Amino acid sequence: MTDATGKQQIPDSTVAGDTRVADHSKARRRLILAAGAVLPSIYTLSSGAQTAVSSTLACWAKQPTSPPARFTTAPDNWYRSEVYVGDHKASGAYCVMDRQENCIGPALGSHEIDPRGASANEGREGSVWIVDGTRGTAGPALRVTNVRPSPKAYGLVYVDQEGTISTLDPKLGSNLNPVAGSCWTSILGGRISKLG
Amino acid sequence: MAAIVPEPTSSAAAAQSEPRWSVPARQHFVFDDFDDGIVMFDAAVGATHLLNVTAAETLLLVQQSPGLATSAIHRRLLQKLEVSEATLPLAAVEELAWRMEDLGLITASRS
Repeated sequence: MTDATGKQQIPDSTVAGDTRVADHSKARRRLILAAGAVLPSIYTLSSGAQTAVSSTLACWAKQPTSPPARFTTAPDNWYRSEVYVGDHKASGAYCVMDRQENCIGPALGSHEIDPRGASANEGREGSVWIVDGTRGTAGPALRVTNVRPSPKAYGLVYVDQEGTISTLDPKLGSNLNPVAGSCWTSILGGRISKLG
Repeated sequence: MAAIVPEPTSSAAAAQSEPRWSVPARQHFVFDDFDDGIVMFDAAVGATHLLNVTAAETLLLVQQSPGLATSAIHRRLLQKLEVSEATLPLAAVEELAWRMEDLGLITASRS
């Protein structure tokens, strides 16, 4: 496609297109430049995810006005993982260790002795629990007892937009969001796609 | 049509120190234009890039006129896009050129 001077223009597509598309594009470019988007930008898209980028970013970034409950007694449409439940005084405590076996003392039903003194159904010292919405580390100041193998609760899993990080315990300031189960599936689908 | 701005003369030393840009012979670009930008497929390595108008015009300039110095590319961009130097400073074009060089889209040489 050439302009009035005969010089080649950026093709609207390398496949045949009609002049209405070309005219629309030229007009749109004038508007874009007039709006101030002149400074050059170039982004490299992840291979295998080009067609999914816009939709997965949208579902990851879209957060509901009412955030979902962090812990539920049953699965729902949010991406969740099972977590141990225990007690701290009169409140329920939910373990958010990504490796849940690190939530408790010696394995339930075993006769091993935890050198840190925890019994089989106590929160392991150093493990992280959520009590009344507050994050705390099990230890002398936060004793979690009666950790039960079932029923467990379902904790929200927080993920990054690339799907490379997923955790029950997002650090303050980390760019992680809870996502719907379908969104997580699409993020993973874009990540493992064999396209490109 | 905008008036052609003649290339200003510059000292020999300054001209020699400026990199000159060209597209490698093995390169093949496939462009497609969407509302959100221009998608360009680098067939040589199988990478896809999202460019805005300025970046796409820069790549096209280098492709059509190999061996241009950065300052010459900048002047032609200002004419082509009909913008002022304040809106599109030379430094932005320099940074873009080196970014494209990092991506293997263009190469630099010193004459």
